[in-house]
Amino acid sequence: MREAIIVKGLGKRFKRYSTAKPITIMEAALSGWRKLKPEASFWALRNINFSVSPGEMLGILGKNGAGKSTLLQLVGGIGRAEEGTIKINGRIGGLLDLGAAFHTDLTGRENVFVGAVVAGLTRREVARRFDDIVEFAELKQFIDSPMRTYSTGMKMRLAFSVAVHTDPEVLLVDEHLSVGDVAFQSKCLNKITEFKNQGCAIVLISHTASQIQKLCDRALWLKSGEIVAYGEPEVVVGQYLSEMRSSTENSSPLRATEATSSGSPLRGNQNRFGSLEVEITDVKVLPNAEIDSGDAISIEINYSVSQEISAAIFAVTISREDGQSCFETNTNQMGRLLPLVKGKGKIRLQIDRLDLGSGQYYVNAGVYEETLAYAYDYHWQIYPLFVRSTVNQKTILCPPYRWEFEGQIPLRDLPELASPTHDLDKNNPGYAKIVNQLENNQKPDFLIVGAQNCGTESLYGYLAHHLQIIKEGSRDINFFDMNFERGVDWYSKQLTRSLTGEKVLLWEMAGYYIYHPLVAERVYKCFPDVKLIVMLGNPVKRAWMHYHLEVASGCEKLDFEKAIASEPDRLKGEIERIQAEENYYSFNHQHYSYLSRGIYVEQIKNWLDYFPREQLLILKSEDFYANTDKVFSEVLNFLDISASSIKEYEINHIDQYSQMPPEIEQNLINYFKPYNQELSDLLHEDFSWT
Amino acid sequence: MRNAGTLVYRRKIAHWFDLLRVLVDRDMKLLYKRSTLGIAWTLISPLLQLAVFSFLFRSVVPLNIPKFSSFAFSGLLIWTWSQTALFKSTALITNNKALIRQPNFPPAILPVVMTMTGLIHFVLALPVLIIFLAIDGIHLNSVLLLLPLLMIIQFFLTVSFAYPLAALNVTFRDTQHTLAVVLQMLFYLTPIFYDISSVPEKFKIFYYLNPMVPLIEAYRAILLKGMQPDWQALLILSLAVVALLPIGVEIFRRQSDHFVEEL
Repeated sequence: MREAIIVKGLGKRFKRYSTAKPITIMEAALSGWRKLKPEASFWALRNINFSVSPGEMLGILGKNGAGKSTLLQLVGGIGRAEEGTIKINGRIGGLLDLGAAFHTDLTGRENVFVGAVVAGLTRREVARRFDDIVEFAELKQFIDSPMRTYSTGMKMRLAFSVAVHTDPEVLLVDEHLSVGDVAFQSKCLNKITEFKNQGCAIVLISHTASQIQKLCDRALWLKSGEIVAYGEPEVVVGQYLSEMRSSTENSSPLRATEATSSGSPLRGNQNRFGSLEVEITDVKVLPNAEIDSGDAISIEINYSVSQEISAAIFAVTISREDGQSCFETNTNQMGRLLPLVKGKGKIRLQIDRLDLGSGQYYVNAGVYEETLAYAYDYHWQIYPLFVRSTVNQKTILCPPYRWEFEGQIPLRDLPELASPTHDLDKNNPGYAKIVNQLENNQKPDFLIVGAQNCGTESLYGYLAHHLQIIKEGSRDINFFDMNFERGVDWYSKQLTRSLTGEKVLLWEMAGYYIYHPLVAERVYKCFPDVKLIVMLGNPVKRAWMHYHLEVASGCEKLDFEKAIASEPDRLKGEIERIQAEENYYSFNHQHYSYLSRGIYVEQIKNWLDYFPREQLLILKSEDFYANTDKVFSEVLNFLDISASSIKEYEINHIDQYSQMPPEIEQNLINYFKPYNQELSDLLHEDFSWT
Repeated sequence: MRNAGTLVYRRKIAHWFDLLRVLVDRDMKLLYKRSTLGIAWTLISPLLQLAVFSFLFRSVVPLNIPKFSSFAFSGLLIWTWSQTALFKSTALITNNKALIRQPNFPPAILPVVMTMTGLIHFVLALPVLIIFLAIDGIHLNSVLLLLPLLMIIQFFLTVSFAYPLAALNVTFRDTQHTLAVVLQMLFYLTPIFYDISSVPEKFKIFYYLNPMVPLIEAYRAILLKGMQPDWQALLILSLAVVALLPIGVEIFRRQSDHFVEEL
């Protein structure tokens, strides 16, 4: 496939002039034109290599001055590089200096013409699109007023509208996009996503890591003009963030790794910062590190002081896994200075109720110098806190609440709302009614149900690439496993819609589906005709990869051996509870199921209890990676999609995990052997993974 | 394949001219909107100068040039076009940073835009000149059809100098001030309000090094005398423009790679 942007060996050199360099002709003449030569030069960018395919979005991360803007300019054809090549296939559009060509004395109409022609359209093309541009900007009644009467928001809207109506095939986006009101921002983002789905290659520069992680398919981290990391956004962003943290506290003395009561090691400059005149020796989350939302907790900080301190400040924050702080307080806020004497001590923060939404959090504790200028000691994302709540897990807050109704609300007229849709009695007439209300084309045509870490993400990517996506479903809908109470109607709106020939296909993927004990039944009862795709990989490798992902996301603190040893304990009673309580979400079942998720035979049997064998396509991920074309056309055949135009795909299989200790590996191979044998017998196909 | 190629090429040319038109249009509109007098302003300055010259060189120091109003006004209009275009060109790059930072924007179009705007003002002022000619009793004849040729030569001559000046101002921010002084000097050293025949023979050689001199002489031959211009001088001038233009463009092109970093 033709790449949209190919950058090879790019280098840009800037000249550094002496500070005495004459800036006027007169001075230059007086100094005899001598000081005009640059004193030195430095590489603003060096050895930059990357490519972006159509439909792909690359995020460039880096601090101010790392060379991001220079790189974007070079790609946009502004300035010339000293080394390397840039190849662009397609028309370039920029969301850079929005409204740069606009003049306040001209009317909106006149500015649209100037702006759009500057951006690359001919006047006739602008005239043809003029109404669309104005309509998108929502400025119809102001378009003939001078631009000086416009608010900043209106100007931005018009500029953005002009920029997006130039049909770019390569789009360069600057972080300044994040100005304007929220509605406008989301409109921008939607438009950008639309471009991406239409096959536009996008390069976004930003120093906001979360933005890159959310939007991009690939990330590139620039530091002093060189690439530090280039690859999957999660990985690159993770590296970037950890560097940013440690560089803010570079005064921390190095010190041997210590262990904490939570079991995770303390590493200087990674999760511990400070000058260590006061040391935090332990932090306890009491009564328990797993609470229900609304429970009281107390946080106990044990510290030791090596020399007398006239005043110190203790601080506690509770943050999410992504670092977003949810609660922050310090002893200064109560208006007292705390002199510390030599020796050990203890301080406790009592929180009467913690109304956080469910999820994984961290308690961070620090002790600071009296002006907060620097930390004596600060422990970051070491002490986990898990909060359970009844409301949807995507919310941050879960305060005590209730709905109250006044007057005559005819609740009885809304049976779907009054009786929950997750009533799973097969014979429940109310249930059947909901499904029938859906129009025919709103049922999913197929689901990719798992298994997790077995290449389903790649399969998803290929399908998304092969099919013409007309609406990107929100990823990780997780309807049948975690959001079932939201109802089928909600679900049908989330599905990815794609076009093949004249047929619209609706589909989604969730790796947890295959393993969740209730999903097969739920799917059957909602959509008995849906096609199911299963991809299974070597359970030993799956467990190893699964473990590493949990570690990377901060959910797993134990080492691998301990983690698999404690799996039976962690999962004890969870399945029973899932089956007993309709809306029970089991964190342990989702995250700590390294081995039991690899017992495919039980899961497949569960699915075959509901669905005929022909309705399932069961693939081996090893075949998929070795023989992508063949397996992918098998998938297309299964889905009745014409396989005439299979494009070439790059394999994005990342296999960079370290080797599993051979002893454990052998144990696991033996462990899975009988299950694999049983699976092979069941499906009459070899699943022994030897 | 070749068809697609030519199509792309044609679209590029069409876009370049559209861009020129839109930018010139923008400059003209801005001039209109900023003052109620609008384009009249561009006439007022040479008219005032003409009034002063008429007073000085008819009453104070009589030069005895026949049809002095037409003579001086034609010189002023021609000079004003080139002078304004060059003066404004120096600040082009520094004043249009935002445009230059747009992907795909060709900075080389800016000096052309500026000279084109000057040309339009020149053309708009021509009717006033014709009124002066009529008052002075000059009958225009078919030689007037040669006027566009002179305007084309002057256009390219101005552009050839506008390019290096625009580039120079990026490195030396006082180019505009220096240029103002130089242009002021050249104004007096060009036969605008006096006749070249009154220049002593030993200095005349310096006058013919000034490219504006043959140009103004040619304009006046056509407008005032209804005669063919000095073709030999025009040919030399055209050849000089053909040589100067690529040099100017090349200087500009080399510098343009560094515009963004120097701004």
